[in-house]
Amino acid sequence: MVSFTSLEFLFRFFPAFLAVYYITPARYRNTALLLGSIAFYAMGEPYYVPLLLAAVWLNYFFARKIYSCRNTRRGIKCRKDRLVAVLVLDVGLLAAFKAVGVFLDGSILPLGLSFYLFKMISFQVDIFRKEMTELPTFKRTAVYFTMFPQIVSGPIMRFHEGSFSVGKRECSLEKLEEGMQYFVAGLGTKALLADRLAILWKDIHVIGYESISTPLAWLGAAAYSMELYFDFWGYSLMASGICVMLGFPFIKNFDHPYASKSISEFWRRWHMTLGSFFRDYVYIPLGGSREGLANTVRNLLIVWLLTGLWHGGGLNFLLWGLVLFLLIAAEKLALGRAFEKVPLAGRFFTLLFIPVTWVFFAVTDLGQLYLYLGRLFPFMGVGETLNSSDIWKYLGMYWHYLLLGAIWCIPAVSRFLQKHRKHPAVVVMTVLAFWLSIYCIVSMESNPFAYLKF
Amino acid sequence: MIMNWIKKCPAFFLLAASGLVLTFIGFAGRFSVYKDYEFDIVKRPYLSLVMEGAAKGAMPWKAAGAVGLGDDEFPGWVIALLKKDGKEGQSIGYADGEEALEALGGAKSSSGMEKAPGATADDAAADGSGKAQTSGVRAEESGLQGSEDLSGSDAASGKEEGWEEASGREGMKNREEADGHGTPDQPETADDGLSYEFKAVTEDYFNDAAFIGDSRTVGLFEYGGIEERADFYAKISLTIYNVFTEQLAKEEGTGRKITLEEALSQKQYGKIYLMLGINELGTGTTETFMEEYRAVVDRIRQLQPDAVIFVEGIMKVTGDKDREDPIFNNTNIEEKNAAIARLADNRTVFYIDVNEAVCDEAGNLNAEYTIDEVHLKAKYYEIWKQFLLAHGIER
Repeated sequence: MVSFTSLEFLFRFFPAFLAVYYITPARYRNTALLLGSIAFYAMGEPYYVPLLLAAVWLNYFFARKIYSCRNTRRGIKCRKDRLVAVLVLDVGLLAAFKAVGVFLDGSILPLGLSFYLFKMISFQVDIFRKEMTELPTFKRTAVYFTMFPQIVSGPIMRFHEGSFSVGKRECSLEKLEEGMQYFVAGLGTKALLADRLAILWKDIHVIGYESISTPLAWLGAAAYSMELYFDFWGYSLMASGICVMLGFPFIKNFDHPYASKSISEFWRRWHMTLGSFFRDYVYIPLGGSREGLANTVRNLLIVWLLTGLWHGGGLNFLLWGLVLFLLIAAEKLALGRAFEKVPLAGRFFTLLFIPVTWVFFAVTDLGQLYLYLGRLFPFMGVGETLNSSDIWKYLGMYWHYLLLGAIWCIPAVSRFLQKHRKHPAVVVMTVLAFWLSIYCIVSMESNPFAYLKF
Repeated sequence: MIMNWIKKCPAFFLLAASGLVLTFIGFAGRFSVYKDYEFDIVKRPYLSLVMEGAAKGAMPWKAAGAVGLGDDEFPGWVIALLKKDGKEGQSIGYADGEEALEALGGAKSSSGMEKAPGATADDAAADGSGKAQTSGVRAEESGLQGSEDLSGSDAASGKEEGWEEASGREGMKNREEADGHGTPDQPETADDGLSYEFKAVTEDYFNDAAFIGDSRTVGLFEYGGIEERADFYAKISLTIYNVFTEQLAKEEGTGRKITLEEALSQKQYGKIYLMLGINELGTGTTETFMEEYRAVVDRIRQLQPDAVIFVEGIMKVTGDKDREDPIFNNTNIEEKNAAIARLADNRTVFYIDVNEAVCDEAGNLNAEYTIDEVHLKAKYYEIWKQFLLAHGIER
């Protein structure tokens, strides 16, 4: 139900909510959104609703405390103490659940916890830094923290990016149409591309990594890179599309990362709201790149280890963060200048190494990870190709998804569609893409063996 | 106001309109084409029935009485459905539904694989091919491709006319036997005491062998190291119900896609290995499965009179899978395997069970040999090959 691609959400919750939201007089729409969001969360994980509400209330309580001593005599000290208190609470909550998840039971992590806590942290720091001149009302704050399009997996919108006072919110037929088109683009990206490529990745898993040929290992890495991108980008488009339909601005979370000219740039264009969160609330407070080379490198290391840990508790995620740290540090120190002179080299480097980093991300078992890397780089002498023509089989089976995926990674393609989104051909494409996606979702759901055919 | 809507949000409007139309079709079909589908109005919209139907090959217009389709992919369950409707004298627009269906069935049964029509058997067939259709969704995209790799490379041509006549006669005979009592052509053991025993053979043994099967056999083709010697007619999600109608091979020279029926009539083999049955576990009963299985074996023997036929026990799944899965578990597999084993006469048909080689002490697929609990990892197909080499029959 909490998945945007479930039939329950697409045909039950969302249409009903949208109708209620539009029928509701403008000044009650925040109430409608708040209640709708809590209902949405309750349909996913009812037992964690109290935790969510407590976190919302406590954070508002502290925000008001921080705000209230902004102009007192010992303002700075007072604000700092209170900020530290609430950060200990928020970060502690996240760390505690993550630790329990890693060491005891991974399923215990509350739905969307890290996303709503990150919103709360940014909210507190923004108040502390006086970036918000006024303290929003409780209701607006609660809507910001809990709004259902963003609570499960982001984007991590900042408070000032949203239009939380209803007066500023623009609800119109044009917005409805625009948001719906974003939503369908995301749905198609997820259901028609990501879910298909996921099967290729699974097929390779079934063979056993030790036996795949090196070309197939690279094809797998490329396919996984696309799958992950389309999955998350598709989700983000759906989330932001819903926000636009509700009258909020579009929050960009991906900016065609695979067209980047360096890995640092890739990470400015991938999961942008998380990247900017770490930049604004970790990297820059630590001193950023302004305090000498040694400190810069240290700060990068901290940021990337945190990023790794945030994505998962396994050792492979730490390794993943470390590899990215090494690559990005190398770019900062030397490679970056070369890439500026020869952008083609930078693109090549990015397209070559990003898939390798995703292998660290995808394969959680370290032994398996070693095998896969051994097949990617055969000089390591790990494993043995059992069928040297295996790549042709999988290319034959998946070439159309891979080709479509590669095209969909090109920025000009989606920009073109976006520019001409009112053209009748694009409108018809939108409708067809929607029903095709629904077809794929239904046939997978009604036939649970779709993934399991023998 | 509606004009304003269409002008300002055409995509939204088109979506809503097409959604309404699909909902109407789904709602209407709920009482006919889609009436057997699981459906919960709280969780799913009516239009999802249309999608599900499309995925299973049940198009709404087919239900509307378009009987004269001449469509050779006409799913069996639609036939059954039309038949039911015909019997009840409903809007099928056909005075003699039965005859029309016989004709349809006949057209389809050029393979000789069609079941004798009968109420209960039909229901089973309905399940069977409905299922095949479902799992065919992705097979269209992937399985077919895979099968291109599995071309029977040495297919000879030019014998078609001859066998069609012969098989026509054979088919008649076969039908008589089937219509007769029991299975006189499947003695448990040879009357004259003439039977054969398994012995170790070398890889040359596979030079005139053909392997027929589902994804497990596809794996044997890819990683067993005998693809140069033997021909493989294998495809992901292949079932006993569609083994003769799926295009499993490419014709030598022309590159035309051909069915197993065609391939087996173009080239004679010394041994035929058959492993099918796991995809069918959720379908019908062991009886309906075996009815089809027996027919397949009979047909293979008609086409390949000199071949040794190895019916292989279905490879099991791991203990974890066995415990969790209500359908794909070892209890169901063992039941089918016991029935398959009874087909062996130890003269021309032999039962072999690779589970002896790949299972652990508890009788489940060894968890070390697999990642997805169903398929062997590539490097363990060697075990299967060695098992086959230890179980040769030489007559």
